[in-house]
Amino acid sequence: MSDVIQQDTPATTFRFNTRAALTHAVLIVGALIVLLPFYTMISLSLKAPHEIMQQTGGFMGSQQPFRDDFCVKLGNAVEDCLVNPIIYNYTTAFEKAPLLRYLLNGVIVTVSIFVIQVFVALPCAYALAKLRFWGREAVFALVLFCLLIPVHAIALPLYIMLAKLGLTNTYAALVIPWTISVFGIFLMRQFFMTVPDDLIDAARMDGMTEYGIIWRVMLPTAIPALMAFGIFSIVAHWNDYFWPRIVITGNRDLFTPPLGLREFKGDADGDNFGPMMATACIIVTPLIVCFLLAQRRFIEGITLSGMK
Amino acid sequence: MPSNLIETHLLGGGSVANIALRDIEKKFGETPVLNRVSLTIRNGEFVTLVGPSGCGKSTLLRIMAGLEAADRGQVLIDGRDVSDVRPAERNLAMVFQSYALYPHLSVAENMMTPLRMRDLSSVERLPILGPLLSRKRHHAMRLQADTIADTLKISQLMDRKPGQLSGGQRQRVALGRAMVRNPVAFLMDEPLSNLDAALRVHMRAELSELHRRLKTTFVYVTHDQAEALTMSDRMAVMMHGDILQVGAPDEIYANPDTLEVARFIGSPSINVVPGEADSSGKIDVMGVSVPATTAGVRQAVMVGLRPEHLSLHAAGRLSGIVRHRENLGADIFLHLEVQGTQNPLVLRAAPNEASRIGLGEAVAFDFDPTDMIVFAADGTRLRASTPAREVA
Amino acid sequence: MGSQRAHLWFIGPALILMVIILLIPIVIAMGLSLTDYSLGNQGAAFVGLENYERIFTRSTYEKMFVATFRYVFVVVPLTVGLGLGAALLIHSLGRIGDLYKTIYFLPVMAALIAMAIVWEFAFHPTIGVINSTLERGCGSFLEAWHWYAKGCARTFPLWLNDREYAIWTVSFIGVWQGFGFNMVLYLAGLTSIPAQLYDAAEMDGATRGWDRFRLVTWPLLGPTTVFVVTISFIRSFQVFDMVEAFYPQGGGPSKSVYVMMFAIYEKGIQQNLMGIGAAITVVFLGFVMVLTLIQRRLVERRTHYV
Repeated sequence: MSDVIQQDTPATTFRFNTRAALTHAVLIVGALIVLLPFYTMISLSLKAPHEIMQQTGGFMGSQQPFRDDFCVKLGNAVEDCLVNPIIYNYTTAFEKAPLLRYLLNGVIVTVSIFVIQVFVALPCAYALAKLRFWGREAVFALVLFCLLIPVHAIALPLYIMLAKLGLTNTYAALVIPWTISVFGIFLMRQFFMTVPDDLIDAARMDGMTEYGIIWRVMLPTAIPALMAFGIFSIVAHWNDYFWPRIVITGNRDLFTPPLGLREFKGDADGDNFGPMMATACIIVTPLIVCFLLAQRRFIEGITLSGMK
Repeated sequence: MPSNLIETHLLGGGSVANIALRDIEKKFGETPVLNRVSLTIRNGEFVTLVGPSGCGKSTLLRIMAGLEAADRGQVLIDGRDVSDVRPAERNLAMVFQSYALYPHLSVAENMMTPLRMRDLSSVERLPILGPLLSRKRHHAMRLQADTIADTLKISQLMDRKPGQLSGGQRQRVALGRAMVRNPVAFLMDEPLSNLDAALRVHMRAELSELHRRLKTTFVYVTHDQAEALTMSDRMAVMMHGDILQVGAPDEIYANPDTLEVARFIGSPSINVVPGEADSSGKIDVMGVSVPATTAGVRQAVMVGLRPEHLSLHAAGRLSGIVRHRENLGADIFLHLEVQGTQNPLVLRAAPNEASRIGLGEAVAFDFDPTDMIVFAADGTRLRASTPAREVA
Repeated sequence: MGSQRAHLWFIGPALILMVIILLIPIVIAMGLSLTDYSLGNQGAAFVGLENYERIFTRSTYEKMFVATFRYVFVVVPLTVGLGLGAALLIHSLGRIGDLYKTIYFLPVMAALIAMAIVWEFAFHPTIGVINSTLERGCGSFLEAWHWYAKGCARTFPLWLNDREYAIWTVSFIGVWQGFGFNMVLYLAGLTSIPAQLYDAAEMDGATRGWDRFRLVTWPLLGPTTVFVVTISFIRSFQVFDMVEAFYPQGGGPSKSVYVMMFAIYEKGIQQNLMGIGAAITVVFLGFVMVLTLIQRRLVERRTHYV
């Protein structure tokens, strides 16, 4: 019996290491490019105007108090107008425009949209998945057809319709076009079809109404899909710029966060990069934080939307 | 625990060992999967690696194929050390449990893939350009595939995609893809597990027939001991990363080396009852004293008796109560509760004997002492040739 | 039984909303496209196919198509290719790859308008980090590259305000934002490829990475690819945020970034020319629907049951 001890092929281990090293190298370069704007955004939101213009101060900025010229113009003494960059940037962001209000609008709009979407889509999905009725195939065909229609594409006629009803510059205008989510109907129907019929029959025998079945039997089984759908919806509508731009024309109080940022930019003269970046940070952070906390769900959601 | 260094030597003949595994060790992380396993496979024989799930048989097969590398040990093919050689260059072919057919290629293309990979360069393999550049070779390959499809009776399926085939058909295509390379040996990883019972029995016969025809080495992995018994020239019983015994099916069935092997092989399972051997070579079992063929040492033993070794006998020394009856048509198995034993004993009876016996009845039965398969308390087989051992 | 009618209540709201919000507007758009309507007018005059004629002849609209197609045909291949590449690399790393996955997905989560503004700053000719980094390379071996030398001598390009560069810069930002999404989809596709196929490929002699990719990976990513490409097409056709933020009036230096969605916005909302806005909408919808239908057809054909 031979006593030769054979190691793992040196050639393959060596090959493995260079390949992994190369992979990491490429990915790191990519990561740097991807992260560049985030780095810039955060960094600039921490800096004083002169540091921004001259590109000094490293990442954090030197955090030296600087002279706020605007405040001097208003007639205050120079000593009172020395402000710390971070504080200046972020307070200006909140003061120059009602950013808190915008954020609130964002929450109101995205939550309303999602809740209404659920109330519209779930019963429809249930009916298409589990109930037999005349015209079911036709309705489903209609759903499939509507999947082809991106709502942004029909913004113009929708705007006209809303204008005619006098609904421009209202929360209703922001929410209504999104209340029907054919994607949501489709997704939930797929899930509902996997629920065993016996479960539903048992519920019926127990005297549950059809409506009750939807919320007490079907919904619990589809929580993962629902969460994925929710994430998809909230991200899309929190970040939506196009539709609010069209439909909110005069009333600043109804601005959603993207609109708020855009307005900031519109007003901005060269000196306001700091607060503008601070605003951008504030708008972008909520979703990023949620993403980092619940990564798996987010990615599941995107993936689910693809697996059809 | 039995010794791990079991290597069977050839009985007669002088043919070169086709595949040899020496001292193969493998760990997944901290878990040992193979503990210094060695095996020699003769040219042209049908060897089965059989054992329960997790015993390491699939890993061993994959190491043979080159899909996994052993932590230690060597793989030799026809005397050449191939431990460093890539799978394709070992000239082995593998049939997978899930068939692993390329779903986007037709049956013909699936079967030609090994040939294309081996004989054509990258350029010649490009989709449209390729066939134009090497028409002749392409034709030759197609011819080869067609010939093999003929023998496997799948010629009419050549243009279909795997998704359009039944399980049995896919299995044949997988076989065809393996055969087309003219390999030195076929490695099969539980190829019949995904088929339904009737088809499985049919395919067993077909595979055996194929082996006889091709006369190539087959290395077959399964957890089904019936498959191993019916198909192999030799079988290696594996458990917990060790090969417990290698031998012809008859040999392993009648002459198991350990209690574990005895229990694993044979259906219904062998009956095992405790007994007491005394220094004169007699064994006390189930209240009966029988002469034994083992060396006379006083010790506690485990006595194995297969269901067919027990027979109904009006004047039998033992009696039991029928607790369960299995009527398989040609055989009836009675599960008997016998005093002094924990588990019921299974007895095989002929239909005409046992058809009148019902549940709850007491029956008398007996056995021939020479049928006993005796094991020491630690599971090792005690034979007449086993040297005397002192038991503490 | 009350439940006989229950389904009507269930599908009712959805049906009504589908008709009102999705279907009727299409009809309205088609109708309006044949008129010269403006919001606020009492009526509208029927002008036949005049709007469409304008779209397919006038140079402004020619620029619209050019800008849109340039954007789409740069962004789609790059986001799909980079998404696939990133997915393959990350997939080969195992657990460590999760970090890269997170990083590459961040742009998808961040509001495009916000990140676009940041990019605009980064691309700023004088105080932007891109040009200042390029400037640091001046006087080194990089000047051997003619373009680089020219930049050092005069200035580096005005990325977003130069007719030659604007559309490509905007495309770059689009790729930056979108490839993470495709990467995630491809990662899901990769994990669903059965490992035994790679074993079979190895046994058959597909030893090199390229061979394995061609024999197993790419074919089995078929449906994923079709989906990714379609989604990318539809998303990139709808580009708007950046264009409006960078060029609130006019669609870029000599309209080189005058994409379709912006044209709809400009004509329909800003200039209140609903007729032509509707016509562009109809053409746009046509593109999108045709693309999606092609996708559906392709998926049916390319889905292979393993």
